[in-house]
Amino acid sequence: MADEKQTKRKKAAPGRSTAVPNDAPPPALEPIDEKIIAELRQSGRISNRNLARTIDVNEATVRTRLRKLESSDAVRVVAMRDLTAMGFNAIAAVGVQVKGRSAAEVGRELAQFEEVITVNVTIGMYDLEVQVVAHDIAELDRILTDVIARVDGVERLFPGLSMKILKYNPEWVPL
Amino acid sequence: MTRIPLDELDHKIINRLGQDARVSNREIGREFGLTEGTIRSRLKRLLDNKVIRVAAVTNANRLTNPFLAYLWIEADTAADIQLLTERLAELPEIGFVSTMLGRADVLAMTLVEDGNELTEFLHQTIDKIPGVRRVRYSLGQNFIKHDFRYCALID
Repeated sequence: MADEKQTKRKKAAPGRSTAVPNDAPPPALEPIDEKIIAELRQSGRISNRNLARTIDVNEATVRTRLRKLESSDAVRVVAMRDLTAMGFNAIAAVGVQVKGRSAAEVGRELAQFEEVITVNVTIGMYDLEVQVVAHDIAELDRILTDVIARVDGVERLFPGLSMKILKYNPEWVPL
Repeated sequence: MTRIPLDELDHKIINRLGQDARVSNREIGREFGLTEGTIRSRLKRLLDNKVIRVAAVTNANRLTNPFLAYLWIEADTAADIQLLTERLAELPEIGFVSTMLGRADVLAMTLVEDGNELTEFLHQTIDKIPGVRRVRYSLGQNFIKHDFRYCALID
């Protein structure tokens, strides 16, 4: 689907000056914005006043810039919870084969479950890739067998269990 | 890493920050009817023990149309897996690395702009890591959900 869209856009591009807002490339960040983001990557809890002092601008500038960055979805400051610290010891990557319904439709339904933390429509081996978290293996089994497997359109599941996560850093996300 | 017990207040603070991580300690305290100092010390405990991390995330590396690529990696030998995953985790392009029970030896994830960029990355970078036997991939076309409130905090 995305491929199709891209091709269409490329065809439509020549001679057209009115770009669809969603497809417009993100505006380039000014050096001051980059500095603010760099500081907030280190610590999202730094106060505007201290941030302003660190990068040598006034506090109002930081406040305005940051608000603009957040409202344009260029950046967001979030609290990320460590899965293990939150008691989620079983994390699975599950390929989903879909039948009789569109993958996106099934994906949207799966996305409503709290335990399903990522959902992607994929090209490749399966129709969807999802990540499921659970407190233990028994709970994971329950979610896969009693919840996900019963969603209309879910045909087969291909789960793999994450044993040791060496890196999981969602610094770049679709906002 | 030692796991610390979390009580109701900890969870409340974590959830509050999940909505808006720039809210001040004083404001959280006011909402919960607690002092700024209580919130500050609780939050310090959560951050110091790596229960949460508060940081800026940016819009998919500022790519205009990012795809998430799932790389399913098979190692030459089981003994290569550890070093292989360590090398993968060092790559700034890679956002997720995990050894797997089933499906492949290792799962890694990266964001790419298009298929060409993925091919390039696979050939120029991943294939050159010692111990990589084979990489299968699936290309995410469409993010339906990506809950960035979760992560793994590793030193």
